[in-house]
Amino acid sequence: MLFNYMEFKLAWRNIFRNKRRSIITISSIIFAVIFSVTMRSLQHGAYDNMLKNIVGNYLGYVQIHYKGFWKEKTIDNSYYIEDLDSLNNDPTVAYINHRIEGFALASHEKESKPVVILGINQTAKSEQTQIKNSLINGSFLSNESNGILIGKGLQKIMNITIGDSLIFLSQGFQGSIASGIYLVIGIVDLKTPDLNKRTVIMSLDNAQDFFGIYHMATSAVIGPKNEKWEKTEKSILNQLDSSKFEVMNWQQMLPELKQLIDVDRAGGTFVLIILYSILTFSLFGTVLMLAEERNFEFGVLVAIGMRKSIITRISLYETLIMSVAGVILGLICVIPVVTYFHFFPINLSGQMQEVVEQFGFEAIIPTSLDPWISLTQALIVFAITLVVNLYTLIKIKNIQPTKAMRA
Amino acid sequence: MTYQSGDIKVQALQNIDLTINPCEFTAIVGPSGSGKTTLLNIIGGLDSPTKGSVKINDTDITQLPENELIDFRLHHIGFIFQSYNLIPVLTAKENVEFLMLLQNREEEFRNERTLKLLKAVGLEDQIHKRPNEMSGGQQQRVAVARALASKPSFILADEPTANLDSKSSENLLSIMQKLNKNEKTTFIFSTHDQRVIDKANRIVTIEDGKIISDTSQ
Repeated sequence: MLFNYMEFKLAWRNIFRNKRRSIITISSIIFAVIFSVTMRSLQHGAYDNMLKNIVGNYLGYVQIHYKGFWKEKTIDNSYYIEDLDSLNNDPTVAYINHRIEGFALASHEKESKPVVILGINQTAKSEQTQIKNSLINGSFLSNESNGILIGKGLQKIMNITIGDSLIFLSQGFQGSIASGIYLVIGIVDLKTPDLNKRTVIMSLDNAQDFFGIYHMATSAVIGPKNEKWEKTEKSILNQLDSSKFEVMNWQQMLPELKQLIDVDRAGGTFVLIILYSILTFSLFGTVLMLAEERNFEFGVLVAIGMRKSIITRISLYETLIMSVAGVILGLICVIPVVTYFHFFPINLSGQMQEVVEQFGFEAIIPTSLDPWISLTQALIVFAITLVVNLYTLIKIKNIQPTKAMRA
Repeated sequence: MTYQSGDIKVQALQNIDLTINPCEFTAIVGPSGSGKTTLLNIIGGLDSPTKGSVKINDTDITQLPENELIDFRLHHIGFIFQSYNLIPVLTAKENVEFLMLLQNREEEFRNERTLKLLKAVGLEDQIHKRPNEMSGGQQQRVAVARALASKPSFILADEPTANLDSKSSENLLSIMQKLNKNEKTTFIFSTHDQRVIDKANRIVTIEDGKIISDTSQ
């Protein structure tokens, strides 16, 4: 124990022996932590934002449909709402929002445009929260009126103002004609340009009435009780008749988004590997110099009676102190940056904005505040410094005092 | 004892049969390349002979595994090197105390012995100085105190005065002699320095790896 204190003291003082080298080593660790955490946070933040906008606000993480609906989105593939009532007792399910999703031709004055009609249960709290948060003008759906909300892109294209009427024409249940006239009472920003350009939201009752599917719906959006939607999905799959219903998660409903995230993540990982390699070589250079410089001293220490295991520990302490300092300082520098860009995301502009919006995403990149990102990156950088230090350990293990002192 | 120098095998020592008795102040002398340092390295367990044995207090150190040999050196052999080889980041006091820490000695014992040894080498007022703040002579005196700290059976000194001026050499020698007499410490040192040779009470001369004379004075 006494000697451990001396070992630590030796390691500590060794750090100040060549201040410039120690500063360079710690700086490279700080830089690596800042860069890797910022990069990963931006990536994950962008994914989270995409998922929140498309999946969280609109699609839901898990949906149930009448079997075949996703492939052929016709009103005929609707289910009876009461068939899913039993799921209300599932402990993994927080809520079930039944929706009707159908297509129609919308007309206003001389303009006509194909739109998606989304019938929602306007009394459900989760639907209210999401849609109300998206409302940028006008009022929310009421129980009695035949009011509708339209996306801000559609409003612009068709030059509609609140109080205008829209006429819809579509095919209803089992080949019937669906038509109706509805009053625009609000404009919503669904955060996704594509959705904004084609979405019309009305109450579930009105949608059932329009399409002629009373007590029926096309999609049930399932709210997981906690963050783990996979658990909810599994539980539902076990309960439902798979010949009648299909249960789909967001990755199945949006394979392109999943693929996009996977490809982007792989690209990010590749860049990080390059960064880690640069860090590894830079640290290795330092360790190599250090080991060569101290070779003589290690020889003397072994000669006068210090076991190699103690020298190894001292060397390890030295590396540990520098890497812990580098990682902590790196985190201290990067956390305010990541926090700032989480609350004030990077706004893409110009061509970049257009490209991103073409894919249907909001043109902003917020950072993620997930503490696991910082922790993981810090641990990786920390592990690299330890692995690089293996060279010194091997050097110490093989040291022969007379050879070392002769060098 | 042979060693490899490039492609050539060099026989550094041949048929050495040497016994050092306690309390001796022995000088190993001889021209450069005669094998003085190799002999000291063999006695100190830093090199192993290709043939033969080295017995210290009835222990054949050539048969000890690595860690046991290191521990043996720690407890039984003190080293003084030509270029002092103190630990640069430790003060004079810490350098001396260091070996006792390795021996797990009590703090009180360590403090007492460190101060006593530093006083014996005349450095009681330099205890908080680091090697780079001391002269060569002072550093070598710290090295002597360090070598004695672990209460070794004997001290090996490889040309201890080679890097010192005449005044520092004189000073160091008188300290070593005093320790030899008062503390009954056995010293074995290699040297070229006639002043050092004159102070030795036994002189072993080697040439081409062989002992050619062994005289007491």
